[in-house]
Amino acid sequence: MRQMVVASTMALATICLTAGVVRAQSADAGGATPGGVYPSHVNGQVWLMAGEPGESNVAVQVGDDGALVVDTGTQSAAPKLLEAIQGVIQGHAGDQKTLSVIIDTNGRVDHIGGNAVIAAAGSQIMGGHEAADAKEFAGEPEQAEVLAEQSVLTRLVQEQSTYGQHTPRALWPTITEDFDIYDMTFDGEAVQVYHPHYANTDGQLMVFFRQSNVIATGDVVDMRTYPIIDVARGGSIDGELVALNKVIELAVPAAFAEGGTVVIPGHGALCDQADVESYKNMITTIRNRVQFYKNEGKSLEQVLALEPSAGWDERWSAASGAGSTREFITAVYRTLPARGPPFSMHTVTLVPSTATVSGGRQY
Amino acid sequence: MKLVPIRLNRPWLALACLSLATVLVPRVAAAQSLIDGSWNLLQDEDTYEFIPGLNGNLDAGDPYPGDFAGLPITPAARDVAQAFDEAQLEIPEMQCRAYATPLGPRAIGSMRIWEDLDPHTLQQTQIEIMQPLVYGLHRHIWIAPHPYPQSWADSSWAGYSTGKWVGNALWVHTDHLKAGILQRGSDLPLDDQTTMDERFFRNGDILTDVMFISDKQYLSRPYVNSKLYIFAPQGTVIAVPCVPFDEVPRAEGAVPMHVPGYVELQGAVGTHIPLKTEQGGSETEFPEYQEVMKTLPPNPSVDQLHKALQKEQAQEDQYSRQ
Repeated sequence: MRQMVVASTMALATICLTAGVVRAQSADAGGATPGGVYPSHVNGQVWLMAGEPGESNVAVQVGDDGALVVDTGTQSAAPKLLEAIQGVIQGHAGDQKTLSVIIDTNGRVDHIGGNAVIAAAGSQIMGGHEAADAKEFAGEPEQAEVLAEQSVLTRLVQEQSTYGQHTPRALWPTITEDFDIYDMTFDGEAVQVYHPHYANTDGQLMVFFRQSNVIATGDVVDMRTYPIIDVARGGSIDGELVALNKVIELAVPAAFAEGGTVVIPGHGALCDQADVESYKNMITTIRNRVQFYKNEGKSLEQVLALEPSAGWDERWSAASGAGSTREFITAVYRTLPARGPPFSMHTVTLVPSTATVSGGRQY
Repeated sequence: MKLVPIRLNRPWLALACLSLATVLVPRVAAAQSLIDGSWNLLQDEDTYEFIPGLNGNLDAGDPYPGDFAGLPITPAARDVAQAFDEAQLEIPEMQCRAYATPLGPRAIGSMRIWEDLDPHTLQQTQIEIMQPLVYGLHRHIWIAPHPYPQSWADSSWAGYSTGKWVGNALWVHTDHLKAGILQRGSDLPLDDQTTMDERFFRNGDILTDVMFISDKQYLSRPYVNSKLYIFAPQGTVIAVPCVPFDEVPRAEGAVPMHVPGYVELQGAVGTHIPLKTEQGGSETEFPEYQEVMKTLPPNPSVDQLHKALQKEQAQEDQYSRQ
């Protein structure tokens, strides 16, 4: 035995000395180039318009009823996105090769920027062909309906009237409702839209394709940076954690906590429950550290100087702006109470406890 | 050195021909079946770090929380580990996670290795490695060309591995991994950008796996580790399913953690290694560091360390009751 071990050690030394650390085989990144849009099948009837058109992910469900689109990227990326969506519809939709519904997961420009272009290319057929014919007879343009939570439209209007911020009306949602869960059936599949109040914004939505086993989370999950918590639009850290815990609850992993339900984040690579769990644990830990300092009466600048997210920043901090350490910690600090316990679902007071179910719309 | 003349008689010629044939026969074909079979980990290295057991009990294994000595970690890794409470592993979603590739081959358990062949050319297309005891780690090492995951594809515990034979050694590169841990017990993190290079080679019934783990965020230099396995012709690999359950009642969404300023002292209590050395770092990897350790101040007494631990725990309890 000793001889074998010695031989192994000698061989090890030889290889280490002569080989070094080299890569065995070069990887092919798949030929994706920045700025392109690459339709990629995710699961069931759901596709990812990969390449992050306008730096955010776009999900498309395609089936017998046509296409349902979750988010539309930025305005500048919209033509390429539309071309990619139309390609998927032509290849995979049933007889109804139409783009019927758009769901905006929030009102930020990187999620609604393509609304006008994508919706205009769509054909809204609600309540069957009779309704469509009636609209055509009335001279109303045929386009996809754009669904968002009520707060999205309210804030777009407020921002225009109060601050003069002008988001073109063509980008505004066409149907808004105040709801906790919005149920619908599309492409023969139950689609549930969740509204985790006060998450990234107060109009944040998540879309669960039950049969396809895919959740499009919008900005609730961000696999590139810390979550963008838009305090000015009603976002809060505890609402964000409520939403993350909801994603984890909805997702069902396959063996050994891997795979299963596919999570399409607002930004970054596809992920699963395990990734969201790690992300949630990190965000919760940072949140609790900020609350700990706040309980001690420390100011925002003092907390920033104490670096409550040290250890995670190199991987998760954006270089600047939303998603950067400074912006994230500032948002956490500002939306936490002056004094409070570590986070749990029992300590959350921002989110209404009674859920209202809306929808039931049939397409 | 004294040279011995050789007469070219028949036995010597036969030996020369045999040697020549050995060189000329395609090496790849010979290497392809080198590592197939079942292998048991030889528990002669780092046993203390990898046998699951009660934390804080040397006999049962597992490094003490806060014991980072001998590991080339960065300050960022230390920050994350000090904030991590092992109770996080009791969360149902955390219980059944497979050990990611940078940890699995170093952990306890047997492994089964087999090759897949192209039915037409009989060339190796991939090598698969299954380690059920580390929660189902199943690796695919692609020898034949295989599409690399797109940048938007989900990562995995096993990651994406490519391999090639260099002589009788199998060189493997792995990336596209999920974020994992460097070691059990010490709670040291590995980032999802971690890569691992390996060299597998066999001598008789001993298989060696040399690992070079690189993580620019949490390791200041590649962590080099090797493991020896012994051939187990009867095969001892068994399936180990995992079903999560509520091990400890806990409020939904609560994440066990340590408050800022918490310093894990269990390592110093258990090992008597100087507190500064317990902080780890690449300098603590090398034998010369023993001289540095002699210059370090002695640790507080065990009683004092216990009191400090109790104080930290009381602070955390107080925060929980806010």
